[in-house]
Formats: sequence, C-alpha cells, structure tokens
Amino acid sequence: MERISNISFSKKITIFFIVFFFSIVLSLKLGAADASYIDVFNAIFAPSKSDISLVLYEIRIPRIIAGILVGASLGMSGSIMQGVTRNPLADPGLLGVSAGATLLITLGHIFFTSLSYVGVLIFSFLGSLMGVTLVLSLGYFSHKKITTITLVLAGSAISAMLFALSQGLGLVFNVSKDVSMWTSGGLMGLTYNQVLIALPVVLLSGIFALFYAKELTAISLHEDVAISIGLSLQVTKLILYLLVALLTGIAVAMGGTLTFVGLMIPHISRFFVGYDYKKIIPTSLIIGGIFIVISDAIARVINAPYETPLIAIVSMVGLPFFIWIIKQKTGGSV
Amino acid sequence: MKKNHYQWLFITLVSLVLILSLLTLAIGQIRFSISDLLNTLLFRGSQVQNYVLLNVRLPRLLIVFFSGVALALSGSLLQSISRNDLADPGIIGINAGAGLGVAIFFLMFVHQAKTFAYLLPLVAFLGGLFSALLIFILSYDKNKGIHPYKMILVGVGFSMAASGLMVLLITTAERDQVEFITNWLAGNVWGGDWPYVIVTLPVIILSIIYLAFQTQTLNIIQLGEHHAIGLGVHMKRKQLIYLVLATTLASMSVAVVGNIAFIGLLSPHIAKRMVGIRNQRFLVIAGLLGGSLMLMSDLLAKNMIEPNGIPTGILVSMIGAPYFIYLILKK
Repeated sequence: MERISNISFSKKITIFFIVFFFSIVLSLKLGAADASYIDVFNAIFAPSKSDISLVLYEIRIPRIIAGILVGASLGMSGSIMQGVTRNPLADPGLLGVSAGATLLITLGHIFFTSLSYVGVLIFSFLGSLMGVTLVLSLGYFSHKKITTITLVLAGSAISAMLFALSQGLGLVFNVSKDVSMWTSGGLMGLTYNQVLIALPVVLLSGIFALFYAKELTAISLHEDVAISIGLSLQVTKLILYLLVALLTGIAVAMGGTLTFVGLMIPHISRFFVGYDYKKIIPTSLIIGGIFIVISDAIARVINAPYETPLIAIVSMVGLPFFIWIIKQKTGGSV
Repeated sequence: MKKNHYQWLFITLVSLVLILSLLTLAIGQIRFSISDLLNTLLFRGSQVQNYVLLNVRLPRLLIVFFSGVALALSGSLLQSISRNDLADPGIIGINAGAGLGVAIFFLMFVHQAKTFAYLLPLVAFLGGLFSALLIFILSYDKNKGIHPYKMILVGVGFSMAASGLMVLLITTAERDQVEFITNWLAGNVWGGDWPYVIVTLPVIILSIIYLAFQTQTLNIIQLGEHHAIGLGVHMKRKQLIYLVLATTLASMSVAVVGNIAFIGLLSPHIAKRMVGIRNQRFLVIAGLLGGSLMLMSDLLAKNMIEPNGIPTGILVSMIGAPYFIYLILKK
C-alpha cells in the first residue's frame, strides 16, 4: 500500500496504458481463428485481403473497441455512482439502472418494429435514466436515512421488478428474441458503425465527468464539505446522475446487463490512485477497458470454437469480489 | 377477542383457497360449469372433461398451492433463523442454487424432462442445500451467529452470479433444452403432472408436520439468542436444522414451479401483521397466504394472455418487488 501510493500518478497511468495495450494485442490474437502477432500487426497497420486479416479487421477489432467502451462506461458510471451516493456497494447493475435500460429497450422494440441502433441507444439511455430516478426517489419516500445496505437491497428489488416487467412484456408482445439479442448477446456481432456512434459519447462523457471531478471528490468525502466550499449540490448531482445514466445506457446497449463491473472497477481504481476523482475517472476508464477486453478474450477462448457468454465470466470474477467487499465493509458488524 | 379474530381469519383464508381452487379448476381453454365440475370429480364426466380436469388441472392445482405454502414457510423459517425480515429463499439465492442443480442435471444426464421426475426433487434439494450452506458459512460469525444483513447481501450476490452461470448453461444446451431453462428462469409452472405431485407432495407435507412440532422452539428463538440459549435451545444445531428444512421446502417448490421469489417474503410479513408473532398462528396463516397468493398469480398469469399465458413468476415479481421495497423503506 505504502509503495503504491509513492509512485507518481503519471507513472501509474503509463503502466496502465502499457497493460491496456498488451491486453488489446492479446485479445486480438486469441479467438476461434488463431492469429500470430505478425497477423495482428499487419491487421492494424496494413490491412490486406487475407482471411485472417479480414477476421481481425472486420470482427475482432470492432469487438475489442466495443469491449473497451463497455468496460470504460461501466467503470466510470460505477465510480461516479459510488461517489455521489457515497456508497461503496453502488453499481448500475445491482441498483437496477441496467434493468431500467433493458425494460425500455423492450418497450422500444414493442413500439417500433424495426428499431435502429441509434434508437436502441436512445431507449437504453432513457431506461437508465428511469432506473436512476427510481433508485433516487427511494430517498424521498424513506422515513429514515438510506444506509449502504438498504440501498443495495432496494436496488436489487427494483432490478427484479424491472426485469420481470420486461420479460413479461417481451413474452406478451413477442419481442423477447429481439431484446435478448441486445441484452444478453455479449459483444458479438457489433459493427464499426455502431461502435463509432458510441465512441464519441463515451469520450465526451468522460471529459465532462473530469470537469466535475473536483465537485465529485468533495461530495464523495462528505456532503457538508461540498456545501462548505460553495457548491450548488443539486445541480452538480443532477449532472452526475445524468452522466451515470448515459454511460450505463451505452454499456447496456452494447454489451448487455453486466452486473459487478461497475462495482469492482472503482474499488480497484481507488486502490491504485486514492480518493481524488481527477485520477479515479481516467483510471477506471482504462481499468474497465482492460477488464472487459480480457474477459471477452477469455470468453472466446475458454470453450473455443464456441463462445462463452461474457456475463458468465464477469459473474465468476464479480461474485467473490462482491463478497469480499461486503466482508470488508461489514467487518463482522454493520 | 384476539382468538376470535384469528379463527375468522383462518376461516376466511380457507374459503379463499377453496374459491381460488374452484376457479383454477373451472377456468381455462375449456370451461366447466359447477355441475360439470361436480360430475367430473365424481368420475361421471365425458372423456375430455375427465382428462382435462383430472390429468391437467388437478395436479397443477396441487402443485401450485403446495409450492406456495412451501415457499411461505421456507421464508418464515429463514426470517426466524436470520432474525431478518427481508429473508426469502428467492432473494438469498437458495432458489438459484436449486435451479442450477436442476439445470446442470437436466443438461448433463437427461434429455427428456419426463424421465427424471423422481430424481428431480433430490437434485433440486442438493443444489439448494449447497448454496444455502455456502451462504450460511460466508455469513456466519463465530461469536455472533448468522449476521442478518450479510446473509442477505451474500445471497443477492450469489443469485446474480447464478443467473450468470445459467446463461452459460443455456449456451451449451440444445435448442429444446434452452426453452426449458428460460421458462424455468421466468418461473413457469412446468411440473404440473401427477409424477411430480407424487414425488414432491409427501416431502412438503412431512416437512410441514415436522415444523408443526417445532413451533415452540421457534417462539423461543424469536426472543433472541441469549434467551434461547438460556432456555436450553441448542442454537447452532437448531439453526442448521431449520436452514435444511427451509431449503427442503424451497427446493421442492423450485423443482416444480421454477424460480419464484417474493412469496416467501410477503406471506410471513402479512401474516405477522395480522396475527402477531406466535409461530403456532402465524405459520398457519403464512402458509395459507402463500398458497392463495400462488393460486391467484397462477390463475391470472395463465388466463391473462391467450393461449399460453405468461410465466407465474413474472407476475409474482411484479407484485412482490414493490412490497419488498416498501418494507425496506419502512424499516
């Protein structure tokens, strides 16, 4: 711990980028069709018409970019959410934000028979916004202050309810197949077009979040601190929650509902760079990217030539982590 | 006055169950009038009527009702041993474990659901027990016993991860097997057939009888751990026994009606509010409530959309989740 905090932030970021780079190269190489490092190099810098180059260029590269975007969005939205709610267990998946996105994607498919990708993105964002609003409104209806644990419990109930609703609606209106294509398909079959629509949104959200990093750090430490340095809390919080909804919406529209990612990444980031959100946001962007890229590579390789669902891999890592955090936070007594 | 109140409630609930049962038997693709029903139940109906009533609706009715009772009692037990009002076999991951057991067994060893009716409850029980013990161990504190909130949180995480594993199983499965699992996940009553009734019903009823003898001990446990130990209750052993009992009840119902959450949460709560916390009374009311809630949801889910209806579990979640949230906020 002591040693980690002694390394300067720029050094850490450099190291993260190196790991990030290697995970991308590794992920490019691994898969049902084996590629050599030379193939990987060629595909990036001199795409040719050979089979392996086409596989890499047409399938694997967009998929990896999508993985980075999903991981980055979930990492950032988890960080922001844990900061604003000051709750170390907050996670867009656990708290029903992703479930909201799923519900609205279902509704989108019911109302518009051929929903375009942009349409899916918009509905997904609106759904996340609904999920965030639902979770937040708990605070207003509650007689007592919401604790860390009640928030998670209520969130998981909201999540269950929204999933049940979208399952039911999907079955009634016969769109469950279209919906599950979006929500449990992992990163399969994403095209450049789709990825390139999402890319600027994620980047802009990240930059925007950085502008609010100072406020977020203050809020995450203590609300009184934030007020005492003269922040208008309501507006800041509103913007931050909008960012959470936007990022989660994109992640769900691309990679489906991945629980635990938004929970783990912020904890890992804080472990490396401490409590300043100026550092946490870029770190969770990169680490989130690394995590999903590697998990997706594992998902492709572990049972090749068949795909293992990404969510299975993520859950296997996520559950022990979740339990570990609970153990840390409760420490035997709440 | 209090005693009277309880008796009236009991009679009301029993008649509610009877009315719901009659409706379940009568309503559907083929409708029965009262006289038809009576005739068929006395084996005097036409062949079609006989078949529909005796081979389709009656076993389904029994399965639905008793799984509701089992879930409610399982929830009551879990709430007592964890001293946490939010415990429910669905929420804390016992259902998920039982379901995983069923799915793994189904995919690896069996290719037709009919042939393994007799093994199914056992497999479900083993899966449920595995996850229950895991949750128990992870949330057990040497000095303090089961940590109420940790148990729920670990369970929530566990059931999330289990659904991830389910997705994994789905992708490795054949097409018709996939349909089975997705239906199971949504809580579709699929074991409504006599073999399933014959296998699960005795276990549920035996568990209920055993539970009836334990009400006094449960009352004592409710007083708190120190009182219970002072009065000579072997806490650790009793907690483990009740956990196994709760798992048995939950996994029996999971084995036949699929993943249904919230029934085990709602029923004990409403029951406690109505008749107080004495186990002799509230367990009875909770069981009846659980049964009638299941019957009601099943009736609605089955007939809401022609021809197949929606899975019962979905309907239960839509009713149960808001109540759960209300409970959390009120606490």
